[in-house]
Amino acid sequence: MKSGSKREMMIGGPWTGLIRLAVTDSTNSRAMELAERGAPHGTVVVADAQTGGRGRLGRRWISPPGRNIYVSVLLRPDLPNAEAPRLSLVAGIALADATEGEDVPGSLKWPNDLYLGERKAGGILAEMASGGDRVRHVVIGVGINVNLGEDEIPEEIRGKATSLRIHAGREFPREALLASFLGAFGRRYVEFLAGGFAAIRPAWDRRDFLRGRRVLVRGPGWEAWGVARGVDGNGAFLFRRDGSGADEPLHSGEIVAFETA
Amino acid sequence: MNLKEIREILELLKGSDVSEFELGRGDTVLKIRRGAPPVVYAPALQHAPAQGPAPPPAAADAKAPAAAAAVPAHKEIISPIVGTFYRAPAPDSAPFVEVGSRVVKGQVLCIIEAMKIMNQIESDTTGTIAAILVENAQPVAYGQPLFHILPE
Repeated sequence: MKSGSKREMMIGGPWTGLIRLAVTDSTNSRAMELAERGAPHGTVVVADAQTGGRGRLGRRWISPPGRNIYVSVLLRPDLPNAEAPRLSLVAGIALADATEGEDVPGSLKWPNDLYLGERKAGGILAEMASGGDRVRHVVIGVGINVNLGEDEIPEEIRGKATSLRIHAGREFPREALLASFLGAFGRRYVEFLAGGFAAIRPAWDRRDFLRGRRVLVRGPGWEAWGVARGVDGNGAFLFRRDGSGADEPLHSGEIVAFETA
Repeated sequence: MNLKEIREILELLKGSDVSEFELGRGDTVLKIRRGAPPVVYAPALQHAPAQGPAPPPAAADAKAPAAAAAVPAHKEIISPIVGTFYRAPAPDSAPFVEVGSRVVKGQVLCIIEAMKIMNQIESDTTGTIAAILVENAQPVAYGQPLFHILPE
């Protein structure tokens, strides 16, 4: 990632500054630190490689140099805490917008994993700090497997993970894809602030990876099979548990297995 | 920990709905369970006779009623969102706080996850964690109490 794309960063978004790092432990950790030190809304942190790339709950995110996109954005939205989880879906939609712009349509596994075909190519980790009942700051970190090769995927996730290159059979310009993601995020963010999740829900619905599939869901202290029924107006995952006649909205929990298409 | 401090703690607990309280100071641990006679454990305490600590709190208890009305209540930290409660940043990490931990205003107490957003819940008070009301990895509702903090 070479510098000099300030112009692109101004495309349709709240982005106020771009910090480029050759290597860091985690762009999310950097952005959270910057946030605590008063960095402005719209700060973007990009790294060419991460030594401690992480997903949710301390899981590792494969982050070699020269291949992928690792970017975290710092936002200070004037939102009540209860609204903030929706930002997670906003980021997912922007991710799918960006790859679609490169003629690689992806789908979204709730809440915000990017899938190409039946394999995961992108993930999001969002961290936030709240003061009282309003958001103080939120950092949304995105990892996109762009030009990662099949042989660079660790054995334990081989067959489950992919990249744009593996999926489409060609290389992609990371810089243009990053600009495209930030542009899309900016637009979706503005739409979301103006019209709530309802305003962007169609962009989610048409990419719903799980809808109609049988899924195994793990919640706190339980696991159950059922059918994915899409998302509700709040962005919650609608789960029709086996043996139940009603959809259950889930705000957290994890889809640990799904029937393949 | 001296008798005056123990007396003050007992005063603070009065008028609160804390059922168990634990406070660590160096190698001394004070544990109080309400509804039963208060007990003081001093596992590695060298400068106090082993049987010494138990009576004074009871005595303090007996003298306390007149002051009960003036006792400051604990502060409650509630969940600002629906989600899953996590006491540590990762499954193999140490919890952010334990009962008895001193916390300062702005310190992270736990994470509540919703839709993969890890929401760091900060203390709005400087004081001591008196109770942790939710178990790790359990669901929490909007407005559900998470911690009791005894303000300083």
